[in-house]
Amino acid sequence: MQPKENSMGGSEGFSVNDDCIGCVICAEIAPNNFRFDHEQGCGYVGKQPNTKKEVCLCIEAKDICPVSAIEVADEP
Amino acid sequence: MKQVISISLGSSEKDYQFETEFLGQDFIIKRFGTNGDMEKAAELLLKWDKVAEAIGIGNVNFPYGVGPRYLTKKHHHKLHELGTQVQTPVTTGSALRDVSFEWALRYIEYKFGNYFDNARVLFLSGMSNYRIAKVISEFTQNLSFADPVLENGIPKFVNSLKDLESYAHGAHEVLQWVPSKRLTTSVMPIKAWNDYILRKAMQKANIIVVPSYNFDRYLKDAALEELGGKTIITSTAYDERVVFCKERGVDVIIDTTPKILQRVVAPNVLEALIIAALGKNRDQIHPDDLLEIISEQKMDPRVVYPSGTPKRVNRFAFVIHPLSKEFLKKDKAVDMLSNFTPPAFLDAVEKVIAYAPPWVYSRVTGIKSPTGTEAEGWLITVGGTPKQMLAHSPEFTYTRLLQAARMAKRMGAQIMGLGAFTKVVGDAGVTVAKKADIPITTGNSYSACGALWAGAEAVRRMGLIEIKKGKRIQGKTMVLGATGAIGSVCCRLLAKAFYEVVMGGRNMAKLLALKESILKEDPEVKIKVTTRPDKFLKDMDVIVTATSGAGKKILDITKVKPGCVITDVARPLDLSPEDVAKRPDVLVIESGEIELPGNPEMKSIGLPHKVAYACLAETIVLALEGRFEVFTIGRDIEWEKVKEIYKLGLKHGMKLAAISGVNGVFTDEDIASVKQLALEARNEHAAAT
Repeated sequence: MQPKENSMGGSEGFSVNDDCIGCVICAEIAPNNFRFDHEQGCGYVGKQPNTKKEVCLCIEAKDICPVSAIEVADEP
Repeated sequence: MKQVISISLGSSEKDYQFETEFLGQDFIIKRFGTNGDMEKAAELLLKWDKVAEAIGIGNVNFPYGVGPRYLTKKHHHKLHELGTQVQTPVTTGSALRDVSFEWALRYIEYKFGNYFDNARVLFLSGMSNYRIAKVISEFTQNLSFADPVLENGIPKFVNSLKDLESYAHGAHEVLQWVPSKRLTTSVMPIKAWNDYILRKAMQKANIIVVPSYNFDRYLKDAALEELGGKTIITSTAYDERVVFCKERGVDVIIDTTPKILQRVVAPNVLEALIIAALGKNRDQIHPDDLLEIISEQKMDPRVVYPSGTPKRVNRFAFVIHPLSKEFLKKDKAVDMLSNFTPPAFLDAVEKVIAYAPPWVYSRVTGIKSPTGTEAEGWLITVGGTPKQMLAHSPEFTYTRLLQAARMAKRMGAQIMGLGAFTKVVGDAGVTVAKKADIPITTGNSYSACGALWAGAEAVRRMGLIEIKKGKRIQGKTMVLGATGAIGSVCCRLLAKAFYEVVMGGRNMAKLLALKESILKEDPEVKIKVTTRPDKFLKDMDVIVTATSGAGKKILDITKVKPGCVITDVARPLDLSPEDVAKRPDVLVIESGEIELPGNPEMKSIGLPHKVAYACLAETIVLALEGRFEVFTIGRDIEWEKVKEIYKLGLKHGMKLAAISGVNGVFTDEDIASVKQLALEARNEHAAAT
């Protein structure tokens, strides 16, 4: 079992909520941080960004997500 | 005979002509398709002016239901201007369409009960179907609008009614000027991306609202994967559209346009028919007149099941948790690391994971009741083991359960069950039910029911106690944890069947109160109460353990009578596998497992295929029945609810699963072996004394 930072307000930083349609664009843009769960058909945060570049990519993924499913609790 | 003419901008291949009777008058209805030719439509309009009683104009883009006034009326004005040049009343059917949208949805919600509750609804055009969105938003907040994608080629969905209104009033208007609209709909990579995310959004939805005007264009690329198992809301579901949906596995089509004539006709035809029948001009007809006619003529919306059989799929969520830290080893990384790290590593993992937000452990599909209703859902897990939940305040667990409830709601669940220890913590679901946005049940009613169902079956199969029809069983039975939610119901049930019941618990006052209450219902039963149950163990034929000890030693199995049937209702179990192994002459059943109807598919929850814990089964039964209500919460469960859920379970095809012990399912041979060992032990004991 792999807990995912996939829901509301559970952890700091980025998270993917249940509106995710599994288009995988987030994992394409920020592969170090977003992963795709093939069983559930949705993305999740595998690792919070810890460099400026990763943060930029995560923000880009958040902006481009077609269903606005990427949330950011506290700006990392 | 009055004539009603429909001039459609659609295909001329669909032209028809037929005679009918409406409101006591005879009509002939003719349709003329112009294949998109406006000139031809205008010619036809002038040709039939003063000849027909009313003219309908079909296959036009209806005015938007939301947005700036000039925009909502844009198309309408053009037609209105055209209409003023002729004397025969002309209509597009938009008034009837608006009235029938709202009527259809409220009718479906009333007739089928909770149909739209929490459903994930995708609108291919929210601006055209704004009225539908307004009505549906009363039942669900899971709305998604594809207007930017389909109208402006922008790969972004709008996720709320409020945002749609903002988009319609501001963004949409401005985006009309942006040249990129043309570019984005023709530039291949962006178009392909938009098509892809639209397909993904369709796959995620439960209900898709498709405007009739663009039905074929919007759905042309949709396949089984996008439409299979979905409900489609549209107006005017012509036969070929029904066939299209059938081929793509659509479950239900809700056609908001009523079918009152011998064939499906568009709203413009119906509205023209009403205008002609009433002999009024279009402007003289108020929505109230339409509602009155709809009501009088029983113009109910059409519910079409393309497959031919009624379909309904309800959705549930159920919260589980790791039963112990050993369970965490199911994660390969944890398992590997725990092999060469000190035991403290696993303790640390257990502590950390308790803080994790809930996540989906498994999707559940394939549950089908004999009534035809289906259920699907999600198993959501919280991170805390029972030990961790007890180590924190109840609020710690409540917070995670409320997170799970929010998650369940967004995924479309209509009811959520609390599994295992999540319903033991704090006030047993009361706070969570009060604060959650979806109905909550603990499943305790069916747990009690399932345990006794299993216990009774085990006693019958052991055959060590004589059971005479209509008489009390001449055996002794004990309930440990008697004052708890399930324990007290077990006591009441056993008191109806057994000659003697011993009730064990920690609080003598509660035990005495329970005894008084049971004796009022069954004065013939012999009841003993005890806070030290060990001394009674050697005489008991049946023992039910229903404590919340979370791993504490509840009973000394070595003192139990040979051949005793112990039903362990507690989760986590009161008896460890090591304890059970000490007494091969005693039948220890885990009880409560229920076989689900249909062909359920989900990740393993430690039970055989198709088998579920009774508390999960209760959530599923309520989902199948469409009873989206707080059913069982708190420490006291009601006998009436136990009976009700038992009956509902039978109605929906729930069966008692094979009786399971700590080592899996008991076969007939296993039970015969326990019985043989018990008889031998009893003989030895008799010989010794």
